[in-house]
Amino acid sequence: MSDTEEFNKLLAEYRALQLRVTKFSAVEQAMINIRDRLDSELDMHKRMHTYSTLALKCESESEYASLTAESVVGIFETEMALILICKLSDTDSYVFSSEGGGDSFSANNKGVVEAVRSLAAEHPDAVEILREAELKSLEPYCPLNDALCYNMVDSDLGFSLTVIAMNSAARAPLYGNIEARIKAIFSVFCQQLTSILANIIRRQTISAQFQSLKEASSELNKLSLIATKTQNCVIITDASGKIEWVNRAFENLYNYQLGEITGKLPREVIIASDSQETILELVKSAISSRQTQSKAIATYSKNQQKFRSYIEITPVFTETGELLNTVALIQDVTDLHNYQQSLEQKNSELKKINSELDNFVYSVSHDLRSPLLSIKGLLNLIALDETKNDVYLNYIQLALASVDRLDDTIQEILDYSRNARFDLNLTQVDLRELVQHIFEDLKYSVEPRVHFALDVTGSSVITTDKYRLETILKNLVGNGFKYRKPDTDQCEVRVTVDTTGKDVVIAVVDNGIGISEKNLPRIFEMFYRGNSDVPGTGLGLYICKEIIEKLNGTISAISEAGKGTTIKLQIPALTNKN
Amino acid sequence: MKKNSVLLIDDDKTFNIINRALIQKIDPEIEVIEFNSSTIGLDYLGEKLLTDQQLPDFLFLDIRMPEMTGFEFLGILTSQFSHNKLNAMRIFILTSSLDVKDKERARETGVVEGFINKPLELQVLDNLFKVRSNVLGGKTE
Repeated sequence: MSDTEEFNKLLAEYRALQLRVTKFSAVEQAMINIRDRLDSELDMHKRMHTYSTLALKCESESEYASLTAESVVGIFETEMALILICKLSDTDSYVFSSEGGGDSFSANNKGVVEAVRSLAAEHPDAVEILREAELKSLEPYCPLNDALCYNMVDSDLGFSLTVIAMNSAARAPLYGNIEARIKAIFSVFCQQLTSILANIIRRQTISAQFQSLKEASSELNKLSLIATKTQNCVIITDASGKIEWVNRAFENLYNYQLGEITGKLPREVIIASDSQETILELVKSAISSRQTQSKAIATYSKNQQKFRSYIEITPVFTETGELLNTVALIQDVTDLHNYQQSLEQKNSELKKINSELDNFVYSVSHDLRSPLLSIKGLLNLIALDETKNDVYLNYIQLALASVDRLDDTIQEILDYSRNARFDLNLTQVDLRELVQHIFEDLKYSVEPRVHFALDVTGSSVITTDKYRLETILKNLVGNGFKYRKPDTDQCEVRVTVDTTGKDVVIAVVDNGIGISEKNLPRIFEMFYRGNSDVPGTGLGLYICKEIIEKLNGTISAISEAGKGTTIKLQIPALTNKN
Repeated sequence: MKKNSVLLIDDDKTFNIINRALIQKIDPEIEVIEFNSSTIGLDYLGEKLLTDQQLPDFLFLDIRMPEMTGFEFLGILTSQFSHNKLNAMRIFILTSSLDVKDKERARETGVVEGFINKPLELQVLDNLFKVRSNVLGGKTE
């Protein structure tokens, strides 16, 4: 063999060897790749296991959601993850958590939640890989390249769960695309986290039920403690209405022992036969309305003692709405009832007396005055004829003055009793009209030499008690006339009204004989009379003061002997409520 | 010249006597017709109105009377006859009532010219005969 042949042979062998080495290293590389992938999947499974252990300990949906979002990012190595748990019965009730998205996917952002919801609605299939075009609805918050999306609805427990794991090339270019092979693992993982969530929700429901049960039982303890101690009688019946328990107060008042009435119907024990139907209706209405119903009814003890009772019936229902017990609370209101009856009797007596008094007032004004007035008329007639005999004429004048005084007294007592007895009756009153009428009335009996005048500033219409104000003004205008100067033609009674201020101010001004400084402070006193020359009862101004107080106003007097008197009324301006 | 006439209706005869005396003191020629029953008074006026006879010039009417009150009396008149017809007669309430509500009711009838407290006095009567007033503001001429 030549050297050349030898070399060529060696070269060929070397090449073959080189080829084999190359092949081997490719195989080696493939094996390394597989090992890495297996390592990463193992790691993923390890992390999934860790997640499950932690997630099972979660006590609330929000704790679960934030743990899950965090874990999805960790396990699947995506940039971001979103979790949305919705309650099916209440669209406003949801739990949302995000990881890696920062403020873009804040739980406070209702728009994000809506976008996730609509995305979930578009992809109802359990697991999908979504690409850029399918993620447009989330683009306003963050532009996304691809995403793993899981969506499920549990109608038994009433919740839906949406998990989205996604990448954004714009924000984090180093993250690769989501690989299709990951979909299977993601699917397994999501099934796992769904069952964990279901577990949490079930646990919560049970604990809420347990809590309410605990509360109810402590409530029941408290109630039975109260029922034992209370002075009121308590009967507890079972669902069929039969007595289960009564308290000590019941036993004492009604003379029954629990043992002898257990299992009986309460109405057959303490209610008279003719009222049993009534109480049955009450119980029925309490049960159907699910509310306490009450009624006043007579009850009877074992030895037939009668009590006036106030019965309150409260139905008690179980969690599921079935009637458990009925609780009857019985108060003995016999004393109250007797008191009420005597009060009612007194009230009706009072009403009778009141109406008799009304009649009396009316009778006095008619029947008592009528004969008096006919005496006056007759005396007037005699006076007209007996102009020749001065002595008789004088007697007649004296008799007339006595009649007038008696009549004045009757009138003033009537005014006083009207003011004291009747309520205020507020209406719109035209003061101009009212005062004019008073003037006209006087003009029939007054010599024309007294001049009457009325000045009104502002509106003449006010809201007040017409008859009371009229009584006052009649009195005051009458006084102005009565106490005029006897020896002049310049007598004037002027009424001024000012309704422009906070108070209505009315003044009655005369230029008559006036009141001395000494007498002025006493003119509003009962039976006080400043002048014995002019007939009077001493009641007029006292009554005016009583009435003005009823009207919440004030009355005051300014006067100077020999110059005249001004009586000023101030009453609060009212607005008519009608 | 036609004689004036006045109709007095009051269950209390004394007042009718007083009023008749006063009227005739002013003018003895005035004819005075008096009734102490409101129903008989109503019959009298009703017949005059139905047969279109001359009405009295004045009516003095009491309020509180047995059988029929003054207001019931006026109620029947105003429901049967027009105000225009009744206006031929000047109607005055003459009463011992101090109740302001009675005065209000008198005004509301629309036919009462005045509300006079008893007893009627000569001067008041004289004024009435001389001047036609509109004291209650309810009378339409």
